[in-house]
Amino acid sequence: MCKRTRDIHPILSLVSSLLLFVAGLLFVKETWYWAYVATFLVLFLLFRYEKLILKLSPFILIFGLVMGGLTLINGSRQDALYAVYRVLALGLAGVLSMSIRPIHLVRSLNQLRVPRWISLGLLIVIRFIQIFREEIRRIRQAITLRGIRFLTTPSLWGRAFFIPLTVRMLSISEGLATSLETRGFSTDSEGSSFEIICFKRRDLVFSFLFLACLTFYGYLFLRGR
Amino acid sequence: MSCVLEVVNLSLSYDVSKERTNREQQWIFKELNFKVSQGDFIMLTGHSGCGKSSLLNMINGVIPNLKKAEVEGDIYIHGQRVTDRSVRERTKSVGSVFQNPREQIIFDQVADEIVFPMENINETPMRMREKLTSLLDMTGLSADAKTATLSGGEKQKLMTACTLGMDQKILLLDEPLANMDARSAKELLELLKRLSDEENYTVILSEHRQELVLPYVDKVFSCVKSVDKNVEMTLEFRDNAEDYECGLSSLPDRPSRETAQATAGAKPVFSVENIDYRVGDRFLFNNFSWQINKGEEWVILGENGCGKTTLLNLLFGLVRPTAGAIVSPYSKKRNKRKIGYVLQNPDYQLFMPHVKDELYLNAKSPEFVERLIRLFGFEHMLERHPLSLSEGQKRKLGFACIIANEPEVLFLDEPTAGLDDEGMEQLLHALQILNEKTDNDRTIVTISHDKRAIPYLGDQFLVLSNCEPYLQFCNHPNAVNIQSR
Repeated sequence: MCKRTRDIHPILSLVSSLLLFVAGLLFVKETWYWAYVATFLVLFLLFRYEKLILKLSPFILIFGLVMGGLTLINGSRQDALYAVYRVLALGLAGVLSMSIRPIHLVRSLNQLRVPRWISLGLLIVIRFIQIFREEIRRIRQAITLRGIRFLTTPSLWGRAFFIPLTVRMLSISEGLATSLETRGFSTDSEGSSFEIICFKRRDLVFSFLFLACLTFYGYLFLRGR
Repeated sequence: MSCVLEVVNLSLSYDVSKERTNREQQWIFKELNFKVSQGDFIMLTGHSGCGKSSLLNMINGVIPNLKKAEVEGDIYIHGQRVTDRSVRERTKSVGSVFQNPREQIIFDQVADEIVFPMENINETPMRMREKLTSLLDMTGLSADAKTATLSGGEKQKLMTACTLGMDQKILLLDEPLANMDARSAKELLELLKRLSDEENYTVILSEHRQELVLPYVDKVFSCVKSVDKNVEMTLEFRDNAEDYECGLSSLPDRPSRETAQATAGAKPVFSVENIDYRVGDRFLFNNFSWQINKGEEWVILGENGCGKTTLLNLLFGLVRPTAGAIVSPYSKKRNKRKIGYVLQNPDYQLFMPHVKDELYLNAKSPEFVERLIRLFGFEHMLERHPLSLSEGQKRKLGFACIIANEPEVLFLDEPTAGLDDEGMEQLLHALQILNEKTDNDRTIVTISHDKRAIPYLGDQFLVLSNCEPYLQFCNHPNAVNIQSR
C-alpha cells in the first residue's frame, strides 16, 4: 500500500532540486532572473512549502549579503548582485532538498533496486552530519565549563576541541556499526520495505508545472543567446 | 526449562601483542562454564571494568568479530555451536541493547527506527505494522515522535523496542538503566520481567544499580576477582537472586550541615526569578522560582526529560531563560571559573595527553591532587592517556579534574551513573574531603537518579516532576516539589 503523504516524491524532489540549482546558476545574468525566482516561489507556495521557505529565508538573506559584500570588495556592483542571485539559486534548490525525509529517499532508492550499501550509506552520512553538529555544540560547552578560552590559551583550546571531537566521532562510528550489525543489517540481503513510496497524482502535477516553467525560462535563455 | 545458552570453557584476553615472550598471557576470564535456561532473568553484576560488557559482547559475537581479542572455548545457542558465526548470524537468536542509545539511533522518527531491524530480516509490511503497534503500546512511545527530542530513558526504551521487534528470544542488555529515572527503570524492568515470565524470553542484564534490578531477577551472576594471578575475573553464580545481598560497605557519615549553613547566613548564590524556558512548543519551566544559598547542597530529582540538565545549564548561563531572570554573582564571566561542572559524559571534558596532566590542569593545590590520586587509585595510570581508561575510570577522572580546581560552586550531572559501589564510595569520600577544606561552605547542586547515592549527595531536594518514585525525599522537610511548573 502506498504511503499517503503531502510530500513530493523524494527522488522527484532531489532531481528537481538539482535542475533548479543548475538552471539558477545559468540564468544569473539574465534581466528576468527575478521573475524566474518569483515563479518558482509561487509554485512552491502552491505546493505548501511556505514553512520551509520561511525557515530558509534568514539563512539565505545573511549568506546572500555576506557573499554580495565580499564580492563588492573586489568587483563591481553588478558582480555583487550576481553573487546574491547565486545564493538565491541555492536557496530555491534548498527548499526542495530540505523537504525530503531521509527515510523516504532510502525507501524509494530501495524500490529502484539501488544497492542497500549506497542508500543506507547515504542515510548514515545525513545522520552523521546531524550528530557532528550536536557533538561540536557539546564539546564547545565542555570547553566553556572547564574555563578554557581561545583568546588566552589557543593551543589548549585546540586540544580541548579536536581530541574529544576525534574520540567522539570514532566512538560514534564504532557504536553505529555495531548497532547496525546487531540489528540485522547486511549489504548481502535486500530486506523488505515498511511502506511503498508511490508516484502520486500530486507528483505528476508538480512535475508538469515544474517542467513547464523551467522549459519556458530555458527557451527565454536560449532565445537571448 | 530447556537450555538456550551454554558457555563451555570460555576465555577472553585483550593481551594479543606478539611481543609477549617472558611473561604469561593475561586473561580477563579463563575457562568460564555456565548454562542459561529458557525464561531465565539474570542480573550480571560486578565492579566497573570487570568484563561484564565483554562477556555480553562475546555472546552476541561483537567480540571477536568486530572488536579484536583472543577468545577460546565455545558458545552454544539453542544447542548449536555459534563460536565461529558472525554477528549477523547470531542476531537471529540474540538481541542486544547497548549502553549509549543516542549513538545508535539512525532515523529521525521513532516508528522508522523500530521498523528498521524488521526490514532487515525481511518481515512483511503487515507484520511490521502489527509489531510496531504492540511495541509502541508496550513502551509508551509515540510513533511520530522525533528521536532527537527523546530523553535518555526514552531512547533506551526505543532501542529495546528495536530489539524486541526482531523476535530474538535471548536479550542481552548492557547497563540499560544507567541514566534512567526510577520510574522509567521500573517500567523497563517490568516489561523485561513480563517477557521472561509470560513469553519465555531469556534476559541477561548487566547493571550496577542492583537495588533496582534485584526484585525482578531470578539469578545473579557476579564478576569477582580471580585467585589466579594471570586471570582478572571469574564468575560466581547464585541460582536464587534472594540469596544475593547488595549494598555499600563503608560510606562516610554525612556531616551535619547546621554549622555551615548558620555560618553562611543564607546568602543567596542563585536566585531563579519567575523563569520560563521552552523547547519548541513545550514549556520545561513556566514561571519557575527557586533560591540556592551559599553552602547548601541540593539534589535535583525528576524523571527523564523533565529539564534537570537544562536547569543546571540555565544556572551556569549556558542557555538563557525565555522569560524571567537568574540573579547570581557567578553570572559574571570572571566568576564563572569558580563554578565546577561535571558532565554526564566524561569524554567531552578529557583532552590532555596523560592522566596526571589532566589532574594538575588548573589544580589549586598539588597536595589535594595527590590525595585524590590515592583516593581514586590513579597511581598506576598517571602516564596513561585519559581516553584509554575504562568508562568508570574516566568518570572518576572527569570528576577528580573538576574538584581539583576546588570550585566554590559545584554542579554534578549524574556523577554516579555507571559507577560500581566502590567507585561511588570514592566519589563521596572525595566530596567530603573537598567540603572539609572549606568548612562546608561549598554550594553543591547534583542531579541524580541513583538512590544509593542521593542521601549522601545533599540534604535539600528539588523534585521537578512526579513525586511518587522519590517519596522518601519528597517527604523530607527540606524538599521542594515542583510538580506543576
